[in-house]
Amino acid sequence: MTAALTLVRLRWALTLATLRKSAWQTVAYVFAILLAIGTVIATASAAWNIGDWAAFVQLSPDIAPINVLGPHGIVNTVVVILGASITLMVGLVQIMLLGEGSTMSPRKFALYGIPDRELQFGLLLSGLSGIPAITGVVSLILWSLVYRAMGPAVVLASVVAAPLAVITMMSVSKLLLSLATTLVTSKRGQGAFYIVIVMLFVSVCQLPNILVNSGAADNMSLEAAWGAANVMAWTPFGAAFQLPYDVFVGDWPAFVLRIAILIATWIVCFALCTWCLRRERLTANAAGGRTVAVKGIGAFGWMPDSPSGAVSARLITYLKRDPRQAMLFIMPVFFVVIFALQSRGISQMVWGAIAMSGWMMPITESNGLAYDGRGFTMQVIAGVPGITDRIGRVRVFAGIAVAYLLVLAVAVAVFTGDWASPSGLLTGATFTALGIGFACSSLGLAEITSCTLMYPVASLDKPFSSPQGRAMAQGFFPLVYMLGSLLAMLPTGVVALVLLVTGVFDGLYWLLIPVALVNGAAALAAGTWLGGKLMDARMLSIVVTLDSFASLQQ
Amino acid sequence: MMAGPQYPYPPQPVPPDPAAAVSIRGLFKRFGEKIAVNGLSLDIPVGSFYGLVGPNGAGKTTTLNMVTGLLVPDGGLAMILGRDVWSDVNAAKRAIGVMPQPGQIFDRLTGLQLLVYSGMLRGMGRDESVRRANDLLTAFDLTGAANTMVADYSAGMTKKICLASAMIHSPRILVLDEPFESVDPVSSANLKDILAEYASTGGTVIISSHVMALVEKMCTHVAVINNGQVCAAGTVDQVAAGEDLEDRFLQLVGGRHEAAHLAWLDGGSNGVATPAAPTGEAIR
Repeated sequence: MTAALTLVRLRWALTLATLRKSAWQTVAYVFAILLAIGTVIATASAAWNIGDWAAFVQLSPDIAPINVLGPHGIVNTVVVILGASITLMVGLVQIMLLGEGSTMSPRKFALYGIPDRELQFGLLLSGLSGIPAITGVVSLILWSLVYRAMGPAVVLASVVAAPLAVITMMSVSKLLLSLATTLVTSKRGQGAFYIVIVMLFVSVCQLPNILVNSGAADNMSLEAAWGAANVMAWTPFGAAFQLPYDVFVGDWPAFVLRIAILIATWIVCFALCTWCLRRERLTANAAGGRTVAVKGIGAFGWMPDSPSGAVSARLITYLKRDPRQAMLFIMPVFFVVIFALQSRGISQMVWGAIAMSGWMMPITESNGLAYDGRGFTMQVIAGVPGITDRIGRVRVFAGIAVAYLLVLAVAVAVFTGDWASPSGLLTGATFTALGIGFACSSLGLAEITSCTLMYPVASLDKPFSSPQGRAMAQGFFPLVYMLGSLLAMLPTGVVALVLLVTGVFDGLYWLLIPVALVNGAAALAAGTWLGGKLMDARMLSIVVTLDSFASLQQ
Repeated sequence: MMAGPQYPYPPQPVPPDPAAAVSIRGLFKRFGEKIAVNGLSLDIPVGSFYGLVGPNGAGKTTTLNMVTGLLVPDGGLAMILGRDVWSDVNAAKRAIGVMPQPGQIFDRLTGLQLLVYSGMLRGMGRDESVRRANDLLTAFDLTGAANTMVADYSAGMTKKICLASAMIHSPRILVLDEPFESVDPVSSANLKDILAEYASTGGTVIISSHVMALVEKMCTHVAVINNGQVCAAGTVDQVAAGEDLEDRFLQLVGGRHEAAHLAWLDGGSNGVATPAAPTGEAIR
């Protein structure tokens, strides 16, 4: 227990020390606290309002009243389904975006000989003492206001359920993380795993849309929804959220059983985490078979025979081996599939996925140097001018984006049947040109932001870890890039607007094809040139920044 | 001459030597309150095997970084082969070979790819890069690991591939920071042979090191750096002044004192370690 409490103190000591060291971190932290307070206030006010609703609503005299607040009612159903989804999401987000905090990584404590169980307990406690966990508990406690009309016992049950739910979320996400870091050790395995997690996440997010748009939800009744909620309420994910209703209807066996399910979940998660910790400690650095052998010089053999060709070859070799950037290759196909599921037969919707993919594809390149890490120093040592580097990078990303989008366009044309009609083909060509224009102009902007708005990324060795202090910049900088890349396509937007306003859009929308392509090419050329200038000016600052990122990854 | 803040140093009495491989005058760098390099001046002759020695924090690495264009000096002048480093920094960088630190390379490339990359990056043709890369891999006993990712190399192998990547373009000056650290004796002997041969053909090698025996054995010249300045510089014999180089180094740098006696550090004869305070202030 002493060791566990020491870990909690250590966590906070480290947090405070980081705050003292960096003004940016302090800003980020204040922002996080404001966000937390906002969440708490929003939950409380929502709970207060919902608590005021009528328990039953009679829409018309001839149909049965709708159960809103009561057991098995709308609120009950939504709370359980939402609660279960949030619990699952917390785990997925943890793996996908946040990763194992690098400050409190179990590896750091290997030297001290702390018993595994005590260490695991300490790490769990230190997790629970963080701002997200505290926000979660406080918000859920205030959520009890919903039940105020149902009596004090129900409110009390809800207050008790709050920490139970948060401990469950924490246990599940710690388990997912431990399993991910311990079991998925091979480089290829990590890449595949990361992609599966991201796709799972996006699919879960898109599920309601797909259900609604595909028509499956039309026949959905409250009874059917409650059926699903009832099942979830017996899983560790939803059990805590059903407890107040158990108390309300006086179903004490269910109440006890659900708490037992939660406690059993904690114990299983804890035991498995401890097992992972032990396994990792005993097999640390003994990972066999991770050696990668490549015959010959690979991409260096066919890229242009020049310094920028060397940059390109290096970059493409890395892209193939970097799970963090693998989304680049998966996302467009994924978008098309998701959009197709929601399209209800409107092929423009599917084509829209191509335009959107073009916009999103260069997003990792907008922070590309951070993915290179300290290796970039080699270029600085060799005296490579900024423009050479930019050209080398643009060659790879523009090549991938254009080729990929064209192949995807052919696939979509076949899939939607638009290849058979001239107007369908023209629509497809317009969207594809927009996609390529977007990809090029975004890439142009990315070549500028990657020299200036850099933020830490997980290390290539541990793609599921999170460098300290990433959260703030990681949220903000990509936003700047996303908005900026829209601005870079402004000329195309203006032309589209003019066509719309003058009422000739339907006849002349194909004009957007040359406009988008020229717009994209111009933005790309300008971005490459300016990026090169910026890089020359900031070369040594970039090295210092990358060094500091590397130290965050330790 | 670098534009920078004004410092209260008198104008340099000796002009820089354009014939030297490296000529440094009044180099100055401060990090916050700490002055890392304090008006350092040094000439490194062409064809010399030059050792920079000094205690930790003396300013060796900072000086080398400023000379190789990796750190902007606050003041002073650094010339490489008669040309000011900072007037065309990329040209200066291409004339020299700086050994990257093991963390500063793209270690997801194979050994062969890394060397070809390093060559092509400096404007060499692909075929020539591949040919030289294979020669270097042979010279450094890395042929067997040519197609293995550098991330899977041992520390010593990584050091060797770093050195090789600095040599592929046959630079006139090689700058190596602690090149023999964590290299096994056999590889280290082979490395020394390669470096000695390179120096004998007119190349200049500049190494920074803590290992005095190595410097005494390998280097023709040595400069002792302390507190950001040169305490002594010249041929190894001149600096040693008839004494053992290590003794001479300790005299110049100072800082030796009687071995401190730590009463509790007794190799276990005193039983177990004292338990932590009941409040649990320490992780046990």
